Amino acid sequence: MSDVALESVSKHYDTQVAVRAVDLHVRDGELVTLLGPSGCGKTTTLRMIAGFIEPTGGVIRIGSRVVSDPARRVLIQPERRRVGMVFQSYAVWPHMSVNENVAYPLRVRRVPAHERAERVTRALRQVKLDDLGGRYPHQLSGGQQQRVALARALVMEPDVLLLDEPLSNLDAKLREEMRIELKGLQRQLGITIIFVTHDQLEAMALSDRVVLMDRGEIVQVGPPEDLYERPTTAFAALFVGTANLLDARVERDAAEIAALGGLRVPVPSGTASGPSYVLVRPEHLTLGASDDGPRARVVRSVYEGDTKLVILAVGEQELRARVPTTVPLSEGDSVTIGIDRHHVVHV
Amino acid sequence: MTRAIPATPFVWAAAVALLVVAAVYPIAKVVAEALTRGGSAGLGNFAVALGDERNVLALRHSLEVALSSTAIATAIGAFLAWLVARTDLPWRRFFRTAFVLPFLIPPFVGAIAWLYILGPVGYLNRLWMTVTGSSEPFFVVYGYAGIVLVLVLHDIPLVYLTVLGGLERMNPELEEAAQISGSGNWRVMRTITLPLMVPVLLAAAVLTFTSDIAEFGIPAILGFSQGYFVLPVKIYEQIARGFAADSIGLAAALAVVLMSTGALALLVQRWLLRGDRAQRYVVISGKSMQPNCVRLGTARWWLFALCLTLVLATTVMPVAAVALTSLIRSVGLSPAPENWSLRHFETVLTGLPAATRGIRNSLVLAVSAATIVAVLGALIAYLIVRTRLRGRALLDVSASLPYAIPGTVFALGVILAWLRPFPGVAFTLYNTLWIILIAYVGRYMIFGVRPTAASLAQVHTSLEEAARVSGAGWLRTFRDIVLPLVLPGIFAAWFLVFIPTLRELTVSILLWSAGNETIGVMVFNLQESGQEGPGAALALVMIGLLVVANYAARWLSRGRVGY
Repeated sequence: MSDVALESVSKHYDTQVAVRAVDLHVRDGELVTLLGPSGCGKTTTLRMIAGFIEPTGGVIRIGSRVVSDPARRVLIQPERRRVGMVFQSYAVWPHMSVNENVAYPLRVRRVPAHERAERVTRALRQVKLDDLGGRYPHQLSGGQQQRVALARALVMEPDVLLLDEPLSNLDAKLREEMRIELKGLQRQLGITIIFVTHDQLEAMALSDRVVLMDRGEIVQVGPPEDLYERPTTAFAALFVGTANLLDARVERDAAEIAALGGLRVPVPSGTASGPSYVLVRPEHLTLGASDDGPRARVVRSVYEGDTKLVILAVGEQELRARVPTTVPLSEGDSVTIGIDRHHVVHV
Repeated sequence: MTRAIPATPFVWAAAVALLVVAAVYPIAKVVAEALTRGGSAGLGNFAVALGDERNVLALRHSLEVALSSTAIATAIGAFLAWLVARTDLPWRRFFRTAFVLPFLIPPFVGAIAWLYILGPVGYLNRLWMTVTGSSEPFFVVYGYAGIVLVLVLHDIPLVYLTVLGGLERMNPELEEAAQISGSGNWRVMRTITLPLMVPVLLAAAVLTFTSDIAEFGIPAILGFSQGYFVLPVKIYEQIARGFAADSIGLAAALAVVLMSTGALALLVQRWLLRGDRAQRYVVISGKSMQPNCVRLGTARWWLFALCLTLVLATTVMPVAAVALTSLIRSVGLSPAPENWSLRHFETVLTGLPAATRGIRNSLVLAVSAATIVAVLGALIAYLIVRTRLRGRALLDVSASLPYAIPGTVFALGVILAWLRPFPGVAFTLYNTLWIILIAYVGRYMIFGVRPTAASLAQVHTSLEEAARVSGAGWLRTFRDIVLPLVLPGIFAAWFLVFIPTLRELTVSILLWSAGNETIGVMVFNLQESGQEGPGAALALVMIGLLVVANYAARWLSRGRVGY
């Protein structure tokens, strides 16, 4: 097992910058996701770690080994990096049976036949495919092919496992199942995993830490709770979960929110005065009928099974609130907004 | 979903009838003729034809040139495709298109050009004899070796394009997965890329084999002087120069034998990929990602020189040889500029009526055939893709048969079908331009059907349904919705017929008559009668027309049609 370190890693294509000076340390045994919209540089970063893309600058280290350092002309080819990888398309070789697919990395490494068979069986057991070894990929479902790809990556007991949106081609139910299994497998094997996804729910559910990226740069790094509850930028707030982003004015270590009747929330000392934003999650707003507090008009109320999403208008500003279905509301009602000021985040 | 055939069943019936008459009927006539001897049915023609050892020898020659050239061309073409698609070969963008250029040189013109270069007094052989003082030429392209050489040079683009397409459709993640598993570049190629390309290589080889065994021009030009005959040339001789009462019947029997060899190749391919084996090679592309680049290292510049030589040999040298021959005043003079003149061009453009007529006839035939096939093909494509008509799969098979079988065989069928005067009127299509036109329409029908069918398959039926719901009738829907969307396909079809008909030889050589020559026929006849200069000038005019048509097609289609 190894840690992975990126120091000021960049990738330029002619004039375009795909990844800009990324610094990241993935600890041994940690599961980190690279999250962001398409084109944010997450896949490029992963492929630089794998060795399929040559960085323009910066140092990449896996364990104690520097695998890429253009400044010192170090570039270790993917086949020598000892990392496992699961591809978005699974990339299970159609001309080989399941056993042959999983045995391939061992065959390349000249592992003796009896040990090979043993390890293939173990890897297939880990992904619950014990009895399908003789099948060919076209005889397997998408979910089963995914497991073959995972077994193939695990069988060589890699230092690091890279996963490139491996769940995006699965249907919703299977995806949830695989998430739980992946997490369990990681706990059991203690392997370092770097996972690329554009799905914020997936990132939340899986990760020890989430690395949020946008336009080639890291926006924020932290445990899922941090990202959700304390986003540091408007981009982070809006990309992770749903959020109300409200205009505010900072004056003397507090932000004043006009849409919430001039409600003031504290901001860290030293924050520059002037126009700014605050963030409130829909579930942190309560709706009532009292006369006390800022008032809003119900524009629409959407039943979502476990909760109700209410779209409110406060003057020009639109607000979303998520409330229990038991709260009686109809469109056009005037309501009072209650707010837990501990959950208002200045961004 | 069932769709009512519109209120114009006449149009459909006519389209199907034309397809049957132009494509299926002639082939049926060949088989019928082969099985009839002296007015009664039987295998007599086969017994006599195959009892003649000259015919058996021709069959053996056919097989040996086709198998040799297929093996060599498949190996070279696949290697070139791999170089362009997967390595850091210098000038890859240039080679990418340059390897395809020989497509613009008709095979028989290539054979003539190589005769100018490596004939007994060819330019290179003369150079060799001058430089070394030898009295023997270095290599003469006559016979087996010469035919295989020129076939290979013309087959390479076919294999190259087929394999390149396969490599580019292949999901690069399949190769990356092997690399991340610990395999180096060469091992990835050996254990993953090559095995996955097996069906593509097989398809390329079968295409090459069927095209080589059917080739008439190259062996006719390079085999004749040595008495090295292949089956298509034998059939041609039987038809054009056979005067015995049974020569057509014998030709038909040989034609059936020739057809069977191609069919056999297809059967072998199907057998190798029988059952669900084909599915073990399904390599649907994932994200379009730059595939990994194999570093050639020190071999890089050697391979670059090799590729450059190949472009020289397949494209530059033949065209240069034709151009040079067309410029030299008379045969035997040294190729120095002081012996150059434009008199051969004057001859073919003004002085020799048959040559001028050939150019005009070929243009008229190519435009007419392309237009008829594009329209007819579009109607048939609609029947195949959009209706539930019983037997519509048969329509596709019928349309593809005339091109799948050797041109010589199809031409024989057309003769058999239209030789007799129409009952009641003393008029026969034989010895007119019409018979050539009908033959072209039948032979290239599939090029009208496939591109339009492909565009049509991409137009979702809901687009048509939306028009119907909006109140448009079937005809209106076809005009307003379907036609504009499939127009690029029809346009592609037009050029896919125009270009090969303009350079056609195999079919025309059996159907032409005085006054109804084509360019191809005239180039061939001038060469065979020893008029090298005018022949070369006319060949150059032909290549010029093909290049203009090709680039016009490319420009008009924004690169989707042409090379």
